[in-house]
Amino acid sequence: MNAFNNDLDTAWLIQQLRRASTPVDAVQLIQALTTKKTTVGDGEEIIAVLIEMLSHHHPSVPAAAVEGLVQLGLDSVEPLIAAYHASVDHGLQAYIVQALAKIGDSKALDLLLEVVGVEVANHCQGNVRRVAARGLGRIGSTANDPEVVKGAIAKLTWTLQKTEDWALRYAAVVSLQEIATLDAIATLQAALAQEQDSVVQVRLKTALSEL
Amino acid sequence: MTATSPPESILSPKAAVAALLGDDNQLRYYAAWWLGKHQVHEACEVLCSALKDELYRTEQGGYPLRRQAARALGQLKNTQAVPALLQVLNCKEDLRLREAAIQALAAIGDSRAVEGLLELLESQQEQPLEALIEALGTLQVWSVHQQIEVFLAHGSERVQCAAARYLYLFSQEPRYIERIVKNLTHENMYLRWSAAFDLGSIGHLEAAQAIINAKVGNSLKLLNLKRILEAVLGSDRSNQQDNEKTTRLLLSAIDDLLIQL
Repeated sequence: MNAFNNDLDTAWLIQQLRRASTPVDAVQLIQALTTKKTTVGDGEEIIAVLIEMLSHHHPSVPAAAVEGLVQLGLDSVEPLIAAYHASVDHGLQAYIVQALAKIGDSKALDLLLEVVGVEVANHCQGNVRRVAARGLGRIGSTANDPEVVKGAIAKLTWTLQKTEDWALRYAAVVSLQEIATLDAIATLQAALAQEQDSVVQVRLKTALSEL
Repeated sequence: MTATSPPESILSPKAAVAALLGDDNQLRYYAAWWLGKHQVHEACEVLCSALKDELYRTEQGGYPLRRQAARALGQLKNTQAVPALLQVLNCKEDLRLREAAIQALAAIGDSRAVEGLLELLESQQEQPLEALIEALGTLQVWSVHQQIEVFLAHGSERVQCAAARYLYLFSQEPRYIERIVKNLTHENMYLRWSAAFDLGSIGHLEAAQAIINAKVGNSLKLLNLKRILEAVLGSDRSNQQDNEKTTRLLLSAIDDLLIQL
């Protein structure tokens, strides 16, 4: 009986969320949905509605939806990747990348590698590459598969050596520090001699002193 | 203003200098921008000559190429350009040109600029006050602090904030930072940006805290925390322990913002 009530409750909350008239209501409903202990069956529906909310016009709603998807964790990863490829909306894709970066699951590796590697003509999208680069740090530091770790380090090494945006290189430093394998440390040491930006340089030194 | 799409591709310093000396005004303008962006020091002299250009004028009497040359010289930060930039301060017809020259002189940071800037402060003509007050603060010209105090009540909020920035750099009194912080929540987006930039150019912990807590976009926060950190790293006057503490705090604030959009 309990499970039945629970399901009904979830369905009702999802319906309310789709009809929410203010951003404040929507954020509260998102939080209610993600903190609910749900049965296996309705997890998919919650994830689907949270992904819908990533396109909401008020920035507080997608921000809450990202947090919700991160809390739901691994189950969100595949639906998020599918939603990324199904969309051409850069705003939505940016939130998806952020959620995947925060979850840090290795299934998202290929997508994040691609995002970090793409030079975007529109400078405003540089932040998405930076977020993705931080995601590679999480994946590289938690994955068990050595090939995944190797892939993350290779892209971060390229980022540190070849990209123009200081914040992107800075993010690569923090991610390589997080990964902290011998390869990652070697990349950081090699970058010391090459890095021209004083702020990235000081972050490199800090990383190496903490490792 | 920056050039959006190049009228013709300029791929080397040599090509840029040739374009600057050519007769296509759009291309000359782009060449001046290119030389500044790539910090081509060999171009210092031709850029100084471009400060006297007569060929490219707008209908209102402005000198677009001169302005762009001044900005490029600010990016070169080459002290050899100081005398030529000082002459430009006398160009009565073009306020924006004087503004670009003032900003370039502040970026170069040569004390020979002080006298020329003070003359503008005394002049009866309309001046680019925001840039002028910022430059006086950057060059640490503290002799005029009483005059600057008056600008706290100026009709433009941006001038008020420039004065507050100058007076904070001079006195380190928190009330001046508070004046700028007030604008971080201003309903006008441009004033919020401007306040974040004012704080970004003050290399102090209080300014960093204000930026971290402000309701401005994440990229703007990152950029201005970086500017504060650059100021801290470049400063030799305050004590080293304080600098290290501020550096740690700024690095950790930047670290936290990286995964935000």
